[in-house]
Amino acid sequence: MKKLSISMLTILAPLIFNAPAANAANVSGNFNVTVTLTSICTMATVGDLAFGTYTAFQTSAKTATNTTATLTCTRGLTGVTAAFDTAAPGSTAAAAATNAVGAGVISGLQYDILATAGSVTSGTAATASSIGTADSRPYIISGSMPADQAGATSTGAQSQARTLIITY
Amino acid sequence: MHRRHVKSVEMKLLTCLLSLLVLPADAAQTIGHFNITVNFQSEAATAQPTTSASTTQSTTSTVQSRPVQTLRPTVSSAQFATGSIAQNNNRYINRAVVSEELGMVTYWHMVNLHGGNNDPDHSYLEMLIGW
Repeated sequence: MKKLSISMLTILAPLIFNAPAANAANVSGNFNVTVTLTSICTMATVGDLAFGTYTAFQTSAKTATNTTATLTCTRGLTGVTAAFDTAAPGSTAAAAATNAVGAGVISGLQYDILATAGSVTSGTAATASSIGTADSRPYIISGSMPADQAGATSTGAQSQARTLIITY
Repeated sequence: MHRRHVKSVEMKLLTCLLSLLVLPADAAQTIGHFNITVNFQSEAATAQPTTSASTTQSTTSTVQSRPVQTLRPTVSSAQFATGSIAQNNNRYINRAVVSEELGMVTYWHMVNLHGGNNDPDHSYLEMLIGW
């Protein structure tokens, strides 16, 4: 009899102490994570487009030292176009396109400018543990002044503000 | 009358819808300013003297030089300096004429170059042009 009691306890004990409570249950609820992303590009400060010294009636065209406008953009933007402004007196600009084309006059000297879209350096995607990085979009701005220009008398270095407009 | 008004409203709505199709609502712009700079130099560093000539006449009132293409713009002023012979003999030029054509100095000549019978044959004049 004693032997039987011990055997029964051995069998029943795990059932008594380890059994789940009779009312335990799982409940799940679904929810959505939502966000509206406003795609943005920011532009770093653009250096001067410097033509250096132009001597009246010089026999060769003058090429400016290129400057670069670097944009930091939301990843994967498409349909990005560029154009120059026409705020400066006598300045012109072609319609927005992949590359911006413009012209103007400074010190009585006609010049042409071009902003060429460079290769996009793709950013990295965000992960659960990192925020990722942006796309980088460079625009190389170049300029040239035709030869044999008379110019208009001016003293010292002259400066004219222009604007590169990026639309996306 | 009522039908015409309805048509007008419809046209306005259509125009609005078309404008929405042309301009994407989410189009955005980023602008960047930059300066175009130039240092304009209105005269070449080597512009003076632009030309010179020599003549073999010494006592006549007019000395005509050969035409000289200076390849310079219209002059606004001109200075003339005598060469070594005239200085040595204390000679001077009464008058000089610069002719301009199409914005360029195409030739020049000197007049009334005073001198006596003892003047050397090779007077030398140098023309300086500024603008």
